[in-house]
Amino acid sequence: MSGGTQEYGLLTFSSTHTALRAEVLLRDLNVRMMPTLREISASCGISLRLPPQAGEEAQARLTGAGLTGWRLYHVLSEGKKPVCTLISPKE
Amino acid sequence: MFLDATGKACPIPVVMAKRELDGGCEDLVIAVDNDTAVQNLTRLASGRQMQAETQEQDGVFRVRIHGASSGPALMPPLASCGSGQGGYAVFISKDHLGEGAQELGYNLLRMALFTLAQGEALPESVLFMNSGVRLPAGEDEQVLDSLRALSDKGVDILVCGTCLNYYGITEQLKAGAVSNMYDILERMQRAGKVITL
Repeated sequence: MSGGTQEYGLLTFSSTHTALRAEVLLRDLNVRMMPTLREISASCGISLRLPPQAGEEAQARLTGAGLTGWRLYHVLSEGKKPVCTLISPKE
Repeated sequence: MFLDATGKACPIPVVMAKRELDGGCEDLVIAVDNDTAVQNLTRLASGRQMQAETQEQDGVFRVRIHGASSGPALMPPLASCGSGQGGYAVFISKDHLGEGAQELGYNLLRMALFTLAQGEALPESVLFMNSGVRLPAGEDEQVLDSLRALSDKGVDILVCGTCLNYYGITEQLKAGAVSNMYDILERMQRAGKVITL
């Protein structure tokens, strides 16, 4: 990945179909579809990257639409290896 | 003779130098901006029994090749033209990646472009033909952002004008430049490799 610090929210999904549905639901939140980071393995290959401040709104919409099987991470990338912290659901 | 090959992807600098030397030039200075090009130029000189000296200033290397040439020679084995400096082209000839479900294929291609734009091993060019031209002429902001990011990093985005015309979307092109078969094929021929998505 490119240099410099990057901070963003990352939604992962247990199902590709859910990921595609979520992208439509969250499109106006400036999400970007990207491959799931190598550091996060237990999910399908499609993730949604979103601005850090959009996390709460995204969670509310996904829950409101009855979508399950997603996880929201906070990602901080200062070098080659991003640090991913699970935000929701709490384990 | 002075050649400015800064910004040129490997192996273009050595090809430029070889052309001049083959034409009889016996004192050539060529400016390049990476070590690989310096190595390849030095190798080119020694293969022709010519002298090579290098001076570096602010990240630009000026390689002087001079002396009586032993005549046109085969291209020397090149140091790796690998990652980081381009040297490859990406060819996108349809608006989805792979065969199968169209929705999945389209989104795989979006992610591929995103990943390409985020990465460090950038291609020299991204070439669009046939239904692939719908991407730079479409409305998908993620795709357009990725293409603009690539362009901002110096990647040439070339879009087949014939294809835009065929689909009636010439006026809708939002990223890249209208191009033609000559330029697109030349980019493929010049690239160390072409990755077809």
